Amino acid sequence: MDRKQARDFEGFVTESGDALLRMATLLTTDPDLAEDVYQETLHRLAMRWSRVDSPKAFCRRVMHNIVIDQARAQRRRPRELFAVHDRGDPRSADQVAAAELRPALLAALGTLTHQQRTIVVLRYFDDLSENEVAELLGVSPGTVKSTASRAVAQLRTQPGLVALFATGPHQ
Amino acid sequence: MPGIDEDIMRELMHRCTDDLHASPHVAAAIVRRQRHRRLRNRALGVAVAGAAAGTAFAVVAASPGSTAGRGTGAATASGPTTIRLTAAQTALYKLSKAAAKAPARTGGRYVIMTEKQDTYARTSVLDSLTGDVWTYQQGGGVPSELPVARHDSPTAAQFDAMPTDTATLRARLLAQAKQEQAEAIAEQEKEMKEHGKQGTLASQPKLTDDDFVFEEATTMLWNPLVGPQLRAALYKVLADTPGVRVDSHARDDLGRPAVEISRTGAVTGIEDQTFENPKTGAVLETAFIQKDGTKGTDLYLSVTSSGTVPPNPYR
Repeated sequence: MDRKQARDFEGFVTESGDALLRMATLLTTDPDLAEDVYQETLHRLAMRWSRVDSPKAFCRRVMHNIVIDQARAQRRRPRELFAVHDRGDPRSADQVAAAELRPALLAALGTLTHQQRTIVVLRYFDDLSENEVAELLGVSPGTVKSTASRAVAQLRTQPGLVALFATGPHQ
Repeated sequence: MPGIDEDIMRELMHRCTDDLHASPHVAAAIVRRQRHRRLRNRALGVAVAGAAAGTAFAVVAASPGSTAGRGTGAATASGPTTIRLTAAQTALYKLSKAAAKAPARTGGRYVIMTEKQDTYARTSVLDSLTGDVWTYQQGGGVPSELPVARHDSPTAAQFDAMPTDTATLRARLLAQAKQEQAEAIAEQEKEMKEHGKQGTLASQPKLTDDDFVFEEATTMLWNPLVGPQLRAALYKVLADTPGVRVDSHARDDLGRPAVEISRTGAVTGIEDQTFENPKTGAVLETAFIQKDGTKGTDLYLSVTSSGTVPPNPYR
């Protein structure tokens, strides 16, 4: 990586690093693992920087692949889920700090399959269209739509989120 | 209602992660590591204006009895000029001699280097004719085989064509570094304009010439395609670079006896270290330490040759 590439790369990370780390957190449901995935994603991006047309799209795909690879490697070891405490209504206001609400969301996301979780994150966190998600994951738009729908239906029944979905976000 | 549920998901995922921020040091650390591994062919092809003159920096010549430093001029024809070498320079000249005497690489077209990078085991295969690099690795859940990086290294012939006169080599390293820097600044300023951002990068702190030279030289040293004469010349360039520290009795992280060469960047504050085999001048370890204490380490374990690209050893 020459200096121009280094500047470009660092500029991209400055602009997109937070979003990538957050996406990694949602995809892995484990903040510590997310940090590793985030760094490994950037490492792979740096190695191919001169040949990557769309860094963000590359990161999405790589991050998904890393999470899948790690899941395969850890298949023999059951995943530890975050303990879900009864937090009552998680909306109990905007004053609920993100850090407090996060375990409930991550635990709920942890009940999804990797494919479901990836689709949910790409659709609703990254705001990709169904077609964009389909292209990225190599599935049909219909699969994205139905998977997302089933995943959200499953999430809305999770203990930490049920109250939130029951009453809506804007009350 | 699906629409509402999706809105809830959207808001929830953003609200739950908005307080997460990536470390600003990660990108810099990755770039640092990449720069240890990337010397583009383009950089080697830089035409060096003025390099032929070769007069900007004198080669420190050993002659007991007086003092001199880099840039004070070569020995003059009018009389004996005596120059006293510092301990660091003496150590680097000794290392240069050892490197020059080391046997040139023989064997097959492909050079196989095994190393340990932080928590990864890594095997790199360099095609000495084309500069293509294959990388296999193991650890941390990463894929064991990375795609071939086309022309990621200069070829052995390109390295052999580099100048070995100290002043000329230093000028070459400096010129290619500055050209890359100028291109980077121009490109970034162009992008800033395209995005409607004001400002210029010209006033930002710039690396010093010595920063550039040290970085270019040490970035080249780890490459096993570098031959004995160029390696020997690179150590002389380092001996000619202010701020270089040398510990002749160091050990690398594996406990191997080593000559440690280090320097802290005047602008970046990053300390770069390289540990060399005192008998051959081969690099045993490279490391960098950032201001916040973040350290990255590459341990070089073996270099062999083969007539064919070996299979992935980690499968």
